Amino acid sequence: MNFILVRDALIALLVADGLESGYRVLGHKGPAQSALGLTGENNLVQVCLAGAKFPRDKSSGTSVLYHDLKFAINITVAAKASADVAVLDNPESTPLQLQTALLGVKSAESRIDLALDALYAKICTVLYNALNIDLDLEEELMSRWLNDYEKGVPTYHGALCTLDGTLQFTCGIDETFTGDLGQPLIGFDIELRTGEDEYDPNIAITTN
Amino acid sequence: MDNLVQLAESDLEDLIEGDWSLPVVLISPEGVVYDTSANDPLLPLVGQVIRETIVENPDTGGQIVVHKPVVSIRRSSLERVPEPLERWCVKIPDSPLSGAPMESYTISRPTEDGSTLGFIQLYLQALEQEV
Repeated sequence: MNFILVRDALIALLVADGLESGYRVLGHKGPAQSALGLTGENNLVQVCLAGAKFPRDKSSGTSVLYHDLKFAINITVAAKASADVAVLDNPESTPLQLQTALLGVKSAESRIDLALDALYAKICTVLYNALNIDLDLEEELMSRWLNDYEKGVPTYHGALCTLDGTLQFTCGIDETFTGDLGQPLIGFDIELRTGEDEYDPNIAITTN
Repeated sequence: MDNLVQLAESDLEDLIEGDWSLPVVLISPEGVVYDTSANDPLLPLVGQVIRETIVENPDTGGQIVVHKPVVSIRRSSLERVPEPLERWCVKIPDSPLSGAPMESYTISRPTEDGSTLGFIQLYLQALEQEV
């Protein structure tokens, strides 16, 4: 079916862009991840078909069917706090240098928000790139749209902060189903037989 | 000892600073390095370093395993106790091996105190070099 081609093309496009832009792509909902493995170049993108439907008002059940597809693109990042660690780790650092380094600490919560926004921007850029408008498919892709981006809540209970978001990629494609329609029914031979009409308007009907 | 609370505090010398302790170095927001005990400046500052992991379950439904280092320090061993919203640096060994290098962290949320105010718990957030 064509939706499988769309799914594979979408994953392939994101994998190719991930290699270039610096994120990792799974074509399914992945197993448990380590927060350490979600930082920087390992920001995670998970793509899967989240739902689909054949709208009843588009076509009948025996012609080419319009397939409305909904893909979930989950993006997850993790971040540490940042500071001038070289100064903090240097035993020769003066109190003033240490104080300055501590003033420059950026919390993981603030950095992770920026990291997720950056990843969201990368996904939008590649999916809305005019060169990728048809996902390199021969079939025409209709009504493609990236919508319903929703950002999660940062979790900050550990050494690293994690944050996720979900985008919805929707599109439509025609599906053609093959199959044997079967033999035509043997037709009924219908013959209309009418009897003689015994009614004669010239003969008066009398009643006693 | 005057009472049991004071006895409990003195017991922290064994419970927190005993054989299971590891060296801890604190750097205050003023840039002052604290690496010795306020109770005895000849002794290093030590505490209980517990490294556990927790599993987060974000909205995507996927699970994420996060390391959760927590340091408990006897309050009386501190010359200055971290206050909420202050930016401190906390250094702990990166492994239990002897001579392991110290790893830098910052405090991720307000400290929690022991029930008798005898010790504090620091929840750490990993630090990386800014670029």
